[in-house]
Amino acid sequence: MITRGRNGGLFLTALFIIAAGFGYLLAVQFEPTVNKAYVVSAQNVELVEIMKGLEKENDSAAQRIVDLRGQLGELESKGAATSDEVRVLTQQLGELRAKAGLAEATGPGVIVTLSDSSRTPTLSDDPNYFVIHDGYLRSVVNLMRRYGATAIAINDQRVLGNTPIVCAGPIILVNSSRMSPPYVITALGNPEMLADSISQDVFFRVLEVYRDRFEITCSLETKTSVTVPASLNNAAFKYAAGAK
Amino acid sequence: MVGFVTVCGLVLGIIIGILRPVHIPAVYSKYVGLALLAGMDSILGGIKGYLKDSFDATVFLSGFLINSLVAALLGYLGDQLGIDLYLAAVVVFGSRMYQNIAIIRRVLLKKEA
Repeated sequence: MITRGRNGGLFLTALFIIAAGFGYLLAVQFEPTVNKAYVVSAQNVELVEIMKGLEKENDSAAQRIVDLRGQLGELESKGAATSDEVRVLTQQLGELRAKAGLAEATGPGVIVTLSDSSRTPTLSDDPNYFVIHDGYLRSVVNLMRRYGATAIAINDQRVLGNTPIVCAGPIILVNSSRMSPPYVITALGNPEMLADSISQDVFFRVLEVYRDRFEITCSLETKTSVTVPASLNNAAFKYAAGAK
Repeated sequence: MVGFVTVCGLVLGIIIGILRPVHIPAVYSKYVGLALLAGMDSILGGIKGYLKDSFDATVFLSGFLINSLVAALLGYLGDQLGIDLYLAAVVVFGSRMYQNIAIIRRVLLKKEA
């Protein structure tokens, strides 16, 4: 039996220190893993349920808005038949609604499509480059506005002046509606001008570099006819009155 | 004596770790895991050596320390180079742990018989 230094004081001390270090690391390494796994996921389950319930409510409320608007349209056309004055006013109302983004809009425009990378980032990659962030959507919308877009939508949500585009973990909220990739950003406007200006903009070039390096989806196409949906968000100026 | 000292050290370390945990950033958590894996491999190797009467304290201690450090460092180096070098450590130490456990099992079974 080889027992070189096995019971020497130095050896025992070293063994003790190393065992303690090992135990310490073991405990430290276990602690956060266990906590994260249980506490966060338990909380998640509850939040996911709340979220699902709220989304159902949202969907039925949105449907109600569409129904009520339909009824309103019927009443208006009935009213328009009664006199010329009402007919003119109804027509003006329709125009104003279209300008306010409360009506569906169709016309020539461009479509920008952004989507997360299909490649899984390796450990040495920064995963942030592989996903589409809320900031990208804001910037693209901003570019479209800057180059003369008259109506903009992201997926099925109309983007108006008061539309929030925010990050909520793995998803993006537009008008409080959950969005997941691909993000299709539609803009009505002069297609050539929009496409030229957007494709030459520094921000869009950066997105193209990301597309080449990190394989995100980033495309820009001109269309002779695109449709953006009506906003479901009736701007109620609850806290604003016209200054006199 | 050796076993007693080891268990005492381990228990003390775990208690300190629970009472006074340091937060290891998620990025480094992986390397600590690698070091622990290498350490566990060394422990199993030590037990195997002990049972086969070929235990060498110096070899054990140096292997324990250096394997842990090298596993963590290689994992880190691999990440810097963009290669999943930590997999090498996982495979090597993982398969060696299985081998050692198999040998320990056989030795114990023979002793029982």
